[in-house]
Amino acid sequence: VAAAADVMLSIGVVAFLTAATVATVVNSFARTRHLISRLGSAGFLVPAWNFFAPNPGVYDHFLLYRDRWTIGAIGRWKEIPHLSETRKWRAFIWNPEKLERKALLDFVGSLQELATREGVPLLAIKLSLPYLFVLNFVSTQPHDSHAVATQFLIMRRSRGDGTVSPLFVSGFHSVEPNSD
Amino acid sequence: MDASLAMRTSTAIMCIGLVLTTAELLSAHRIYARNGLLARDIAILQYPIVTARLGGLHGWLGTRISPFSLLLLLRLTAAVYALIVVAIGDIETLPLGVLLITTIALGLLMPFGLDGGHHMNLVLLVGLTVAAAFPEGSLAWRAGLAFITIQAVLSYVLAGIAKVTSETWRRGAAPAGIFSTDVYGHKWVYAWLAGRPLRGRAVAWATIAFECSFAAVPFVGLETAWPLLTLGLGFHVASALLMGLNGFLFAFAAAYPIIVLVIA
Repeated sequence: VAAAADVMLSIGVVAFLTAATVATVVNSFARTRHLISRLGSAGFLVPAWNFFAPNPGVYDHFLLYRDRWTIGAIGRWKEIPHLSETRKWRAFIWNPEKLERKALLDFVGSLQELATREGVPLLAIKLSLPYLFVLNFVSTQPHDSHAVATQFLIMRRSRGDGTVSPLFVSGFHSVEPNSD
Repeated sequence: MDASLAMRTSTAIMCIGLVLTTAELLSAHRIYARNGLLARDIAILQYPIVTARLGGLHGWLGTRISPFSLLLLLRLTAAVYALIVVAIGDIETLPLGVLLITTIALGLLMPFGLDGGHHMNLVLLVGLTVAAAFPEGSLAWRAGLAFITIQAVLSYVLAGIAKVTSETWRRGAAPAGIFSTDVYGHKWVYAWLAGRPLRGRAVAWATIAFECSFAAVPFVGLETAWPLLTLGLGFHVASALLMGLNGFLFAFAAAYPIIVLVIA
């Protein structure tokens, strides 16, 4: 019985590792990736080996926000500067800043994908994790004492052709006033 | 190469990388705070049951240490312990299992901001934990090590295929574009590539050729595969130096002793 259990366990291990390898191949191609996203959060565990392809990131991204005041006027856009700083020289060995920058890249990719996918209601975008992460982050930035709502904007810049363009603009969301 | 030595070398390289990346995550803890870009209060909205349990745990701890920081500290401790174990010439399933569970938990709780190095660590941890848990030479032991080798080879080959299907890569615009960015770029490399399409095309096609040729590694024998493996390590050193991909270096380099073991 113990030997049979060992064989079954080994077969189970081989089956799991084979399934994980097949899932990796499926997740590495844009056309089939949606099959893995059906796994929900478990899909985050499946590797996608398509580094910088087919669409390499060739843009720098900037996160800005602006406030609407009690009187209805709208303030100027303010940039959150540390998200777009140049990489430090010691990044080859110590690079904790990459986490925040990669997260912003991931959010941009997810929001773009949601916004351009057919049939996705606006509410689904607003309730998506990337949107909520960015909104929460922007809401906790300094706002002036008359602010009642805030809005964020993701801009992108191509150093290659020198263009700067808006990529994603949120709606206004209530904020609790605080001081700069 | 001796199987035990290959597994210990792989574990040691992986654990050095895990210590480094976990320390980076701990040092960047402010981004998981309530006002951070990856606020944990938002992250755990995916898991309402976990939210309730973590809230309870936080209350029970009564300290300023969040359950997320505890998870990272557990991972750091397990990585240091596993390093000590391999340094004295052994390999244990328990620290590898703890590293596997904490790395899975990290990927589920904070899926944004992690990179391919995180996924290669997952692959290594799955394969090494399986291999450490089963007797040497058994079917499951072989499967664990073959899993690491196949995934490592796929990581290059699939990336090469994805690039060859991309018009931006085929016409050579991708390298200059990537090196122009602040996140993964490098001003000297960009200056060398900008406005010189021939150089861009050469770098793009050299990358594609290198990545696709990795498909031959399991079939040509170790003697023929050496130049490709050396090139692969050089590729990751260059990626760390020029693109800041430090986590990739350790995670991918850790797969090499297992590749050598399996193909030899």
